[in-house]
Amino acid sequence: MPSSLCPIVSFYPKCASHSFLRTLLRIVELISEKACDKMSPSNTEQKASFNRMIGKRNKRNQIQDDMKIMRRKILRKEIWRHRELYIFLLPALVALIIFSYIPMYGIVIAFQDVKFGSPYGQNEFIGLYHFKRFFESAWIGRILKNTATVSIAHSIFTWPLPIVLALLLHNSNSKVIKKLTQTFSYLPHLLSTVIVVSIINVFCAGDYGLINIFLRNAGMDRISFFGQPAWVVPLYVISAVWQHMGYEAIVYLGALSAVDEELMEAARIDGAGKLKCIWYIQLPLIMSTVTTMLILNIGGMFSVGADKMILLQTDLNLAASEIISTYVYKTGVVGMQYGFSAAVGLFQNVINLIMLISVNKLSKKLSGSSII
Amino acid sequence: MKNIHKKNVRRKKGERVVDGTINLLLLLVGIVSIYPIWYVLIASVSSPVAISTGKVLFWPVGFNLDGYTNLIKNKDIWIGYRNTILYTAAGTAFDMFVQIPAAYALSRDRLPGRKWITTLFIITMYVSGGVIPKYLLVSSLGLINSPLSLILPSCISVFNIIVARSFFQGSIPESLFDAARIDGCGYTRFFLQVVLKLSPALLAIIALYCIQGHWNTYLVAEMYLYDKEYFTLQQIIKQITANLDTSLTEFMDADEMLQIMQEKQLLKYSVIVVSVIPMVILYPFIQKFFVRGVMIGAVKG
Repeated sequence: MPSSLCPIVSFYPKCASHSFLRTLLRIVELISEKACDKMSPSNTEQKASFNRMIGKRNKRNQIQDDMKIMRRKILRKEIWRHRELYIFLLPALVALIIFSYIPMYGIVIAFQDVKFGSPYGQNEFIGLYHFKRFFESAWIGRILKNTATVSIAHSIFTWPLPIVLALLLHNSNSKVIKKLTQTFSYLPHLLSTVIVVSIINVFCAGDYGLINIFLRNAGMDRISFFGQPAWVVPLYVISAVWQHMGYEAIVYLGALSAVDEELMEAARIDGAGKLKCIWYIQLPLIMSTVTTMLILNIGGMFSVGADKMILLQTDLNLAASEIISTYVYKTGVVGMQYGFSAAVGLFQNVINLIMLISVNKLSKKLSGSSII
Repeated sequence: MKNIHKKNVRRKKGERVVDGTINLLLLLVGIVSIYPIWYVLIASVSSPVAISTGKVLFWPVGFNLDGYTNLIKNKDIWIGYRNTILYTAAGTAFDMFVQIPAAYALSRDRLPGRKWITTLFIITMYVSGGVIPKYLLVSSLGLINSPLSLILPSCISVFNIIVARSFFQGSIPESLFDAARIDGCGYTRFFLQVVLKLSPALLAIIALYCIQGHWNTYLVAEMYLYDKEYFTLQQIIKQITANLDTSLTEFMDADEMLQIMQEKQLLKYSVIVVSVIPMVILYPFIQKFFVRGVMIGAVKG
């Protein structure tokens, strides 16, 4: 490619700091060398010198050694050849280390007495004090129960409905209706949590909510949706289904479009109706996608985010709307009990990880493939 | 012969019922999906009295634009709007600058150490320090109450990187680079001039995810920003749509209160509409990318 055609300023300085680059390469080299040969380099060298001393160095060993040296040379060459790609990776790696790995180290504050203004992660060590306080607090039973209720209800309802929608979409014979429903049902996915909760508010508010206006016109008592703990989970789940059903159906639609048309044709000639085709052909063929999604759903169960719950929360429905993540947010960011809050967060993360690993094992047993 | 014909007719009738039911159900889903948004739209241009008596259902009643005139007078909303646009633009640009080159590098099979680095990324999908350590880190970096707190800490999305990586793996063969290298082209130039030009769909998908994420950020902004000058649109909407402050209304007579309530109600509808509009305008363009994005993402990393 002639250079006159591409007058371009590269944003990655090619040979900006050579020495820095070389050190970086050396690190990568060391890491990948370990991956390349199972024996560690120092060990081989020792072995080689030992052999040399005794004088029993046979041909096979020599060839092996030569190959190792060759391999290392090639590796070094390969790394140097790819140097620009390492610079591509640099911004992402720096960001990853700063904003993901340093906070992982920062979790030590869960075991510390955090003092205001002390340097990051360096406080007096107080062991499991925060955990003890959390396990002995009056809230823990309720919080765990609420978290479990919300996440189980959420998984139960958000999992099967997209499948039904995808089957309906796939089997519709009217292109207009299909297109219309697809367009309309993806749209809510774009809305923010704040907007979704505002829309819930528009429909369910005490005096101006559409539902309550209807109830009043029909001469019935109004329902205080935000004032009763019993309504928290329904509001949460119904709005989640409304928001994400169309979007989640896309995955199943993809699986359905892979179903062999000839199979359907054959079944139809044999006299199977549409319902039978759905039940006996389409559903079994997308079953693997269905189970994968279910397992993923269960795996992410306890990681219910704080966003929507915080917005749905009022003083009156706190008994049902306080979950682990909102509790972490309130005690930590609002209440500034950093150590305690980090401990509660760590507890949730550990539960999540255990769930994920066990679900992954389960799926390995059931379907022979792991998800992670 | 006749019998078979009869049977066929009957089956056709049955089929027609099934088709009809499917279409009916689909129509129902479509209506249920769009109705809440439609209702907010028509309520924002209706008279508050008509709304509170339940007359507004499918079409605006007592058309007026009071909600929007109030909205224009409200300075907070425009500050929020401006901030959100700035954060979204800067955040998306920075996200892409960090993620796309990294994803390309990770998609090259021959890159030594590729597996290790990929693992380093994937670990963070399953293990994290949690909200509080990250918050303390951001605060000790001095980013609290700075717009950078919404741009820097969230710049890595491992999911996006994996999506982009599988795309590059599938569509940019290494032989293409080999050909370019013979002509004296380095990785950087190849990436900027060939790879980026070959993957507009991928760039659109990743940009879409980034824009959506930045535009909709709420809780993180609530955590890191406390100056009203820096508030995002979502924070302003939250303040407006939260219920009326009762302490204010105690000192007013009933009529005045009712009017303020109604004004506030209309403002609520119109602010929802105004904040949804950019997404709805973008929507027809991005709908097909939505589907493609899910499909690329469905390929296991």
